[in-house]
Amino acid sequence: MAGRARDEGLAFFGGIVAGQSHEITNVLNIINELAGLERDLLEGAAAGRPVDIEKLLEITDKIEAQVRRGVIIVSHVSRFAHSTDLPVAVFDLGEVLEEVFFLAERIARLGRAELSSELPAKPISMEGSPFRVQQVVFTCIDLMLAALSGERRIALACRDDGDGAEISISTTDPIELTPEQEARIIALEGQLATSGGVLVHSPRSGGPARFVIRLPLHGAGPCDGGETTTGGS
Amino acid sequence: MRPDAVLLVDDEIEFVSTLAERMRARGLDVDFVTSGVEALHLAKQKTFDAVVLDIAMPGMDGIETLKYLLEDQPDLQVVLLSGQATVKTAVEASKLGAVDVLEKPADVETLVGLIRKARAARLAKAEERTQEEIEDILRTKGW
Repeated sequence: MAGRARDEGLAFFGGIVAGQSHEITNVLNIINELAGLERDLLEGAAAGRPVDIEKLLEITDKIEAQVRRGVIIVSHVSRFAHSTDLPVAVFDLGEVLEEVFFLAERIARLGRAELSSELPAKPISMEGSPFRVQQVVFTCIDLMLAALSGERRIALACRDDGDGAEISISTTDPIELTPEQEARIIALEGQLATSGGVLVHSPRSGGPARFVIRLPLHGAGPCDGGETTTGGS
Repeated sequence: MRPDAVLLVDDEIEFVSTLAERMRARGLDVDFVTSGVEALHLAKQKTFDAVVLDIAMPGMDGIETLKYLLEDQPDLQVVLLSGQATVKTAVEASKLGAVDVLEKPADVETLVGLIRKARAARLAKAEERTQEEIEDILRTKGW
């Protein structure tokens, strides 16, 4: 169980890093084309064509915008990587879910779906593994995206119900999971159970689909059966 | 003679619009769209010598778009662009009929060179196909 959880955690980590690397590559490719266009204009000017200052400034603005976009992606990836630093840590669940939302926006966009969130304004202090929380929530979003058919809208919400936190991932249509997807849900349920958490998929057939994850706020260990997770740098 | 016509397809609008501007400055007739579906629509309305397709796009990806484009226009010259081209993707694209798979960032001069060759290749393929059809008719009709 612990070995499988670790493998799935590593696969999740790799998938996120690969996806975000692709986003960074996109940013670099845009900067490369903009720099190329700037070079074309400057070479034209060197050959005697009039210099279009407005155009050069417009290109510079676009390069700066892409640099800002790149910095945002890199800072999210860095935060995500550091979520593995400690197997158990005290963290704000709202912040961790904002992170998941950012990371999941890419798969939603690629899947032509709209992802919305309703996260608590006040911090929800939680003790556990932020990495595992991200993994479970992201996997639920990923499964829902894969199973969506009609309206491609997914909502992520979270509330503190006193005894613990309740995270919901819902859509407006029913979904049908394949046996492989069902197996992934069962594996997640098992992982959550080891840390005192619960995952409920309802309804199993008919009606708007919803995954609800309930997590204890304190005293929850890592979701892989208590083994130490190696930290990043 | 009309300029070489190319259709660029990439979901990153800033990337595709800038590349289009650079290619136009090099004398090409360039259209661009940001999805595979739009590419299929436009390719039905206008004759292109080449299509440059991004592989990773939301919805219909580059490989799927390539399949549909070549089903409809087997002589079309399609170049795939990829952020992280894998050997598997390159082989699949090549088997499906892509003329080349380039890794981003692709040098604009290399890309323009490929597109300039594309028209001649497209016409040669079309001529070859017509010749085969004529031979087939002569053979089957027994004239």
